[in-house]
Amino acid sequence: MRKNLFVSLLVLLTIVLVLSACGGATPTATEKPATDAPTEVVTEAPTEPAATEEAPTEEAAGCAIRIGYVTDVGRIDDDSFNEASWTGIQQAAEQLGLGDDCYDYIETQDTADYVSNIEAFVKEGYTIIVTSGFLITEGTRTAAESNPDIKFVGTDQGQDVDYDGVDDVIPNLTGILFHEDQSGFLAGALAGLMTESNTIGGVYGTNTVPPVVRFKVGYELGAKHVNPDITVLSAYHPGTSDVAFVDPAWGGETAQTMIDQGADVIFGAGGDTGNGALTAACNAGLPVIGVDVDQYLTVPEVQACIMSSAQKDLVTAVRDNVLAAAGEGEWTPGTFYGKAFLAPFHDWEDKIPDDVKATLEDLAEQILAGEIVTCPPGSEGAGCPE
Amino acid sequence: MMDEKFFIGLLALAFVKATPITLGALTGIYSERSGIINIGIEGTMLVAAFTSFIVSVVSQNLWVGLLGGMLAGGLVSLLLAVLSIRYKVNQIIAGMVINLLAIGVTNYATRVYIDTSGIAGIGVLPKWRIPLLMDIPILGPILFQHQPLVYFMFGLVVLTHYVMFYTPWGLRTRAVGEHPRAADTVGIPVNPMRYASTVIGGLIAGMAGSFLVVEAVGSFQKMMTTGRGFIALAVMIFGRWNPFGALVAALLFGFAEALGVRLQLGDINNIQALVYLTGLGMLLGGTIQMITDFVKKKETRSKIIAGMVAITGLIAAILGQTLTFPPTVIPFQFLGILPYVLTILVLTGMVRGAAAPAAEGVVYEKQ
Repeated sequence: MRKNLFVSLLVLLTIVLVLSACGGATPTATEKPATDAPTEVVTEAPTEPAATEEAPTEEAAGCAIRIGYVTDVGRIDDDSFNEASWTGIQQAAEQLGLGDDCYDYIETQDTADYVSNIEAFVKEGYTIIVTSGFLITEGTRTAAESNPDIKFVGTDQGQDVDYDGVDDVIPNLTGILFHEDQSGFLAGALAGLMTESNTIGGVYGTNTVPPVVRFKVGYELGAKHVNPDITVLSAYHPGTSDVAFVDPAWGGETAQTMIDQGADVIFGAGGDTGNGALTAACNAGLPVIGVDVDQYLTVPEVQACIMSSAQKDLVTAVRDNVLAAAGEGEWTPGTFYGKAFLAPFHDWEDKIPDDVKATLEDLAEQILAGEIVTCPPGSEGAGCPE
Repeated sequence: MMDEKFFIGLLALAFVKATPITLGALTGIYSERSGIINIGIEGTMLVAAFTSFIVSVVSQNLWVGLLGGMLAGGLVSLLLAVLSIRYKVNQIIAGMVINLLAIGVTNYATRVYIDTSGIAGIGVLPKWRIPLLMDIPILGPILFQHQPLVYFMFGLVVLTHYVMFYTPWGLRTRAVGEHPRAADTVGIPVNPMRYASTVIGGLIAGMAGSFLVVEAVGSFQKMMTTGRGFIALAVMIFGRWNPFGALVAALLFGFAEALGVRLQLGDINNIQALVYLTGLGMLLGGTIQMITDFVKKKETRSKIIAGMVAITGLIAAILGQTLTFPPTVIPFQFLGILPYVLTILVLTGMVRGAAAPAAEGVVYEKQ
C-alpha cells in the first residue's frame, strides 16, 4: 500500500521534472514576443532533440545574392514570429528578383544548434544571413565578426549588449527591435478613452520576456495619460515561460476576475494565454485589444469585439533590412527599431468616435516625435533605456 | 477593499478553477478504485478538449460538443484499459503513452485542421442562475451563478460517492481494486469491471477537457490543459481516493490560485489581505477542530490548542482588517506557488490515512 503511494508520487515527480526540463532546456521562450511561439518550443523539443531538419540546398550558382534564414526554436509556419520574418525575406527576395533556390531556411530544433545552423549557411557561401530570436544574439554577433563579408540581420536582437545605452556596432550586422511600449501606449490610450466604468484590464504572459513587460508598461502609461483617474488592473501568468503563453483557461479566468472588478476593456498580451483573455472578455460582450499582429485576422472568435491590436511590423522591418543588405536602401548597422503601431479598427471603425481616433493619431505623432516617454527608466524587466 | 465583493469573487473563481481538477480526480478515482492506475488523465483531457471543439463547431451546438468530448475521453480511456488489461502493458507507461500521444495528435490535428481553416469557436455555455437560490446573500453569487459544468461537477462528486460506497456495483469495483482474487472467487468479473470503471472515468475526464473549451475559453489551443490532469492526480491522492476529499483538495487549490490572481491586480494591499485571510483560516480551522474535539470527547489539551488557534486567528483577522499596512507588493511568482504551498501545508495533516487500492497496477490473471 505504502509502496503504491510512493510509486504514484515518484511518477508525478518524474513527470513534473520531465515537463519542467523541457521548458528549461529551451530558454528561447524568454525573449520571445508575446505570441504563441513557446507552444512550439514545448512540443518540438522533447520529440526531436538537437537535430537540424533541413540542410540548405547546395548548388545555386546562378545567384548573385543568397539569403539564409535561421529560425528561432520552432517551426517556420508558426503563425507568428518565425513566419513573419520568413515572409519578410520572401518579399525581399521577390523584389530583388531572386529565384527560389537563392534563399532558404533552417528550422532550429534546439538552442544548442544556433551556431551550427549559422555555420551551415556561411560554409555554403550565403551572402545575407537572417537569424531570429533574442537567444541567438551572441551567436549572430560572433558569426558576423568572423565573417565580415556576409551581412547579418537579427530579429529581437538589440545591439547594445553591455547595456550602456550605446550600440556596440558591428558593421555588417543589424539587429531589429520594436518599441512594444509605443503600441502598448496607444492601446492603453484607446482603452482609456473607450472605457465607461473607468476600469480596464491587461492579461500578460510572463514578466521574464522584456517585450511583454514593455507592452504592459506602455499600456498602463497610455491609459493614465488620457485618463488620469483610471484604474488599470494587470496580471502576469505566474508559471514558467513554457506554460505562461499557452494557458488560455487561466487567461480567460483572469479576464473574468477583472471584469468582476469592473473592467470593461481587456488587453491580452501573452500568446494563447492572452487570446484566452480576449475570448473570455468577448464572450462577456466587452471590447478587447490584441497584440503583436493584427489579431482580428488571427483570432476569428473575437472579430466582433476586437477594437484594435498593439501591432509590431516584423515583416516590413525584415524586408527592408534584407533589401538594405542587398544594396537596395540604406544599410544601418546597430539596432534598428521597427514600427510598432495600432492595427486597423476593422469592425469598430464606425463605433470608435472620431475624436478618439484624432487623439490617437495625435498621440502617435507625439510618440514618434519623442515628446511622450512610453518606456520610462526604472521600469523593471522592460529593458527600457536608462 | 476586502469587502463582500472581494470574497464573493474569490470563492466563485475558486469553484470555477476547481471544476476541471475535481472532474479529473474523479476520473482517477474510478479507474484506480478498480485497480487501474491512470496517469493519462492529462492526455485524455487534451484529446477531449480538441474533440469537443471540433464537434461543437461542426454541429454548431456546445452541448453536442460536450458529448463529443466525453465520448472521446471514454475512447482514450478504453485504449488505456485495453493496453493495461488485454496487453498487460505496465500501466504507468501506458498512461505516459497516452499523454504523449495526445500532445502529438492534437498538435498535428490543430495544425492541419484548425490553423489553416481559421474556423472560429461558437462561444461558451451561458451561466445557469438558479432561481431563488441565487438571491441568497453571499452564498448565492458564490454557488449558484455558474456555468452548467460547475453544477455537474458537484453532482458527479455526490453521485460517485454514493455509487462507490453505497451500491453493490461500487463494492464490487472496490473489491476488484483491493483483492481481485477474492472478488473473482465470489464470482465478480474482474476485468470487465475494470474496463467499465476505467471507461466511465474516461467519460468524466472528457467532461473535464470539454470544460476548458465549452465553458472556459470557447476555442481550442494547443496543449491547453497545461498540467491540470496532473494536478488532478495529486488532488486525488490528497483526497485519499475519495470524491469529497478530492473536491476539498481541489477547492483549496482553486482558492489559492484565485487568490494569486486577485492579489496581483494591484487594488488590494497584499500583506493585509494575507494576514486577514490567514486569520480567518485559523479561526475557521480552530473552531471546527474544537467542535469535533467536543463531539468526540477528546482530551482537554487538544481542545485548548484548537481554541488558541481560533483565538489567534480571530485577533489576526481583526488586526488585518483594522491596521494600516505599508503598501507592499508580493512578487507574483510567489503568489503563483501559493496553491502548491497551501495545498501541501493543509493536506500533509490529512494524508496520514492515505492508502491506494491494494491491487492497483497489478494485472489480474485467472489461475
